Amino acid sequence: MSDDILQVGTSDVTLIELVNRVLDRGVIVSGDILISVAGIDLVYLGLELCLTSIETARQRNLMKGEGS
Amino acid sequence: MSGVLLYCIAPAGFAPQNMLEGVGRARVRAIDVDGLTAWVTTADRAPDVHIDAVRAHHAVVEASITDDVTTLPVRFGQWLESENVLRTRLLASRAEHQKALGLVQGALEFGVRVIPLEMAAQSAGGHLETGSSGREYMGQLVTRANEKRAHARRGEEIAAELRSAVGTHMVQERSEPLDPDAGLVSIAHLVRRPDFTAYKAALQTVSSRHADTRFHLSGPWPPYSFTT
Repeated sequence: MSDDILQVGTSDVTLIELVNRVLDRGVIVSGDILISVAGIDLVYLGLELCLTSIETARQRNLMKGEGS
Repeated sequence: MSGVLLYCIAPAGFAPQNMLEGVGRARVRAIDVDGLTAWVTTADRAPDVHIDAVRAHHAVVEASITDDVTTLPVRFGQWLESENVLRTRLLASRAEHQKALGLVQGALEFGVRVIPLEMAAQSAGGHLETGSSGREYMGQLVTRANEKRAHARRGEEIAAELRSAVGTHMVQERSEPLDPDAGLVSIAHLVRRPDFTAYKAALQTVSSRHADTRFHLSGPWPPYSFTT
């Protein structure tokens, strides 16, 4: 089996998977889901990386001009 | 009274080790709530969103998982204004959390992101050509819809194939279709520790049948996708 076919722990993919999980999944108890900071949707926060994946944003219709 | 930032929910009495630190290097402590133990840090407000804070949150969740205990990961940024509010909220959802704790004990999550080697040049999310006739425009809409359906169908087929292959090695599955520019499908499998090796082998068998597709495996993760 080639690792080219089954890629385990590729760093970029792992980072996306981490961010997706920590920001988009898990128990919610407060009722307030953190999706923006200072009025800016998380998906637009540059920082060192985009803090949520594009597909997650699209599913939430957060991308400007989409879902409208 | 200070607020609290929540990291994970553990079985009763399962407390963090001394000196474990969370977001902002605050010390993690336990709050017992009628059969559940919440891992929290004291915080005056919700945390700023930064990759370091995300990693710090995840590090606490990972530290809460041992060979014998799997906790319920909490989504980043779950801040409550007081311990009393936290207690009230946890009591209200206590049965749900205890059921989820029962499900995940002895298991962890693996993620499989299925990505075609060649993404469609004109994805279903692409822009429509402007300036064309009404007939051409409608034709583009139909083509786009057909591409989107075919994309979703292929993702469902691969998810089903994976389900069939790894079914005996996993407890539960969650899958979600991806936009064409992000891949075919993202799947999470809850797998018990003794089944890790067999699960990966079954996954490799499926991946070997699809030379035109990559299967990105990640994990094991705390069971973020299986908390409800």
